[in-house]
Amino acid sequence: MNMSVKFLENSKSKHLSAKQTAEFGEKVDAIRREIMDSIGEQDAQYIYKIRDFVRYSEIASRGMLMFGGWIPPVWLMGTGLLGLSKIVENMELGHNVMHGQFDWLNDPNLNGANYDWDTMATGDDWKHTHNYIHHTYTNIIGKDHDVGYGLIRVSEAQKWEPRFLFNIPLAMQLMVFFEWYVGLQNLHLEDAIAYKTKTWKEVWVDSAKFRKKAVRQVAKDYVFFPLIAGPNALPVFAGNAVANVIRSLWASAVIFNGHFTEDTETFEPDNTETETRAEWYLRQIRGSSNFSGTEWLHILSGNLSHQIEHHLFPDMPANRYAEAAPKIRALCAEYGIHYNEASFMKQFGSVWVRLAKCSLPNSWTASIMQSKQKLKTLFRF
Amino acid sequence: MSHVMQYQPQWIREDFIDFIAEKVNPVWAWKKVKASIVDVHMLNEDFYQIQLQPNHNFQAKTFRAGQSILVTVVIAGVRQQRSYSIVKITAQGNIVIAVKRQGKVSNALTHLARGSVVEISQVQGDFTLSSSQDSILLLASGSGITAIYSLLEQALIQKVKQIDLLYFTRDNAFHSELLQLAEQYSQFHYHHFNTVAQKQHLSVELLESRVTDFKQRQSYACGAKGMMQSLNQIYQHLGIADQLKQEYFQVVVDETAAVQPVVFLRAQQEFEAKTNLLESAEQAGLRPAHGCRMGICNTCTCTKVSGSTKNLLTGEIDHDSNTQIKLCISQAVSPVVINL
Repeated sequence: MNMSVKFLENSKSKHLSAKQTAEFGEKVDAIRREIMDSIGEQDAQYIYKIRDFVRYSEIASRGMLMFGGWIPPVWLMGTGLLGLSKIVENMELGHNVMHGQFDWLNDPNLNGANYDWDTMATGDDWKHTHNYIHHTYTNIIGKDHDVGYGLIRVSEAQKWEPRFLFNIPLAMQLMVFFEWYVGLQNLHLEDAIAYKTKTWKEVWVDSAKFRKKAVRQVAKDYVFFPLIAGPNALPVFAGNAVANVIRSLWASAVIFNGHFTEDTETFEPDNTETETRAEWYLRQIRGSSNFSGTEWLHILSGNLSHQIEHHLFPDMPANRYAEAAPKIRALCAEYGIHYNEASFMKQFGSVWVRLAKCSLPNSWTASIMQSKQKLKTLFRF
Repeated sequence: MSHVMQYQPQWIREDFIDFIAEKVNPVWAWKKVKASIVDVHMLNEDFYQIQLQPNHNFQAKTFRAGQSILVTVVIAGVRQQRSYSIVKITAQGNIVIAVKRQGKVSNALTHLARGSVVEISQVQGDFTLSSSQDSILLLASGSGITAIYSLLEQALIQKVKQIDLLYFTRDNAFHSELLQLAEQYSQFHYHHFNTVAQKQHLSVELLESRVTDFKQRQSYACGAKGMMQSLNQIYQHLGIADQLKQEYFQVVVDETAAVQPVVFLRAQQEFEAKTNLLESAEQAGLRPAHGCRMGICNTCTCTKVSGSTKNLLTGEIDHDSNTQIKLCISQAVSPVVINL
C-alpha cells in the first residue's frame, strides 16, 4: 500500500518501501534546492543569448530566402537556418519559458504566462495540456493525453483497436505534421472521429483559440513573407513550409525519445490524489527517458534530452538540468531505480520497436516474442 | 477549459520591434515608456533627486500631483521594479522623482550613470488632490514626503485656504524647501518632527494640539507602516475613515491569519503561506515574477484556480475560482491553488 500508483510488473526499478520512498524524495528535493538557490545572472545571460540567437537567425534566414531564395544553395541555407531558428525558439526558448522557468527575470517577454511561441499551438492551450495535464498525470493512461495523443498506441496497457494496425505510418505522419497535432491536441479529435463521444459542433466551439492562432501562423509564413518577397515568393513559401516540417520532425523525435522509449513505463489510472510528492518523483523518473549527446544536441532539444530532470523539476531553468542529471543518476543507482538513458539513435530506435509491438494486440505480440525466443534458442544450439 | 481572458495572438510581436528599435537608440520603443537619466542630485546623504527624460510614449499631460511611476532597473540580469512618487514634471516634460536609498532597487537606481536608460511606466495612482477643498491635512513620514510634497505644491496652486503638514523625518529631506514655503505662504502651516532629535509618535492628542479642526479636514497620508497604522486606528476610532486618503509603500500583512498550504500548479510545487503569497513563495525557494511588491504593477498577477485569498490593501476576501490575483498583496485564507 506504499504506492498509490501501481507500477508494471516488468519494471526495471526496485520496489521501494514507504520509508525508502520518502527518503528518496527528500534527496531529490535537496538536489533541487541546491541548484535553485544558485540561480542568477549567468542563467539570465544564457536565456537572453538563446533569445538573441533565435532573433538573429530568424532575421538572417528570412533575409536569405527573401533576397536569394532562387539560388539553390542560398535557399538550402536559408531554409535550414530558419528550421534551426524555429527549433531553438520552440524548444530551448518557448517550451522552457512557458514552463515559467525564467519567470524570476520579471521580464514580461520571457514570462511563462505571456509567452506565445512560433507554432500552431496557442500558449494557453499548451499550458493546459502540457504543463498541467502531462506534467501532473505523466504517463497515466486515460489521463495523460501525451500517451499516444489519441492517435497512436504507445503502451501495451492502452486498449488495442484495429486502427492501431497503422501505428507506424500514423506515427510517421504525426511527426511530419507534429505542430498541427500539438495545436489540435486540446480538442481531442479522436473523441469525435473514433469514439463519437464528441460532436463536431463542440469541436468547432472548442477550437476558437486554435483557429485564431492557426490563421496568424499561416498568414505569417505562407502569405505575408512570400508576398513581401515579390518575385521570390515561391522559394520563400517553400522554404517556410520545409522549415516548419524540419521543426516538426525534430520536436516530435525529441518528445518520442522522452516518453515512448523501450523502458519508459506507463501507469494505470489509480488514486493519484493520495500520491505523495516522493511517489510522484518516482513516477516521473520511471515514465521518462534521457538521451546523451553534445552540448548542441542538448540545446536543440530544449534540454529535453534531460527529460527525467525536466519532469522532476519542470520550473528549473533548463540549462541547469545537465548539472542535476549526474546527481539524479547517482541517487537512482543508490536506490535501484532504473535511470533510462542512452544515445539519441538508440532511444529513437527503441521507440519504433515499441510502436511496432503496440500495433498488434498484446496476445499476438506475446506469441511473436515467444516464437522469436524459440528461434533464438534453436540457432544458439 | 474556461479561461478568464480571451486569447488573442499577437500579430506583430512588440518585443521583436523593440529589440530592433533599441539597437538603433536605447530609448526607442514601440509602445513602452523608456527614459534616460539626465540628472542625479543629492538631497542629503541617502536621498537623491533624479531627473528622467522619457521617450515619446510617455503621457506627461495626464499627470496629477501625488501620482507615481514604476521604474525598472536591471540588477544581476533580473528586472526589478519599484514605484516612486513624482515630485514634479518639468516644463520640458522631464520627470523628477526623489529616491531614498533604502533597498537594492533604490540603491541601484541612484548609482546609475547619467545617460543610462531605464524602463518606466505611465503615471499612475489615485493618491491625488480632490478639486474643491478649503482646508486639508497632510501627513508624511520618511520617503512618503515625495508624494506629499507634490500634493502640497498642487494645493498651493489650487489656493487651498488651510494647509497643515505633519512631517516625521529622520533625515530632514525637503525640510529647507518646506520651511521656505511656510514662510512664503501664510495658509501653509508646517509641523516638523525630527525623530532622531526627539522621539515622536502620531497620536490623537498630537493631532488635536496641532490641528484643532483636523476632524473636519480631508486628510492625505503617505508614510511608513507605524505611522499609517496609528493613523488608521485613530481615524477608524473617530469614525472619519472616509476623510482619509492614503498611499502605502509597504504592504501590511494580517499576522493573525493561519498558515495555509498553497499549490503552484505548473511548477508542481507546494508550500506553506504565512505572509503574502509572493513572500511566502520566495521563502519556500520559488521565484515567481514580480515587480513593485505593493500591488501596483501587475507583474505578479496570476490566475487563482481555487481557494480564498484576502486582498491586503482593501481587506476584501475573494472566494471565486479562476480569478486574477496579485501575489504581493494577497494572503491565503484557505488552501489555495495557483496557475503558476
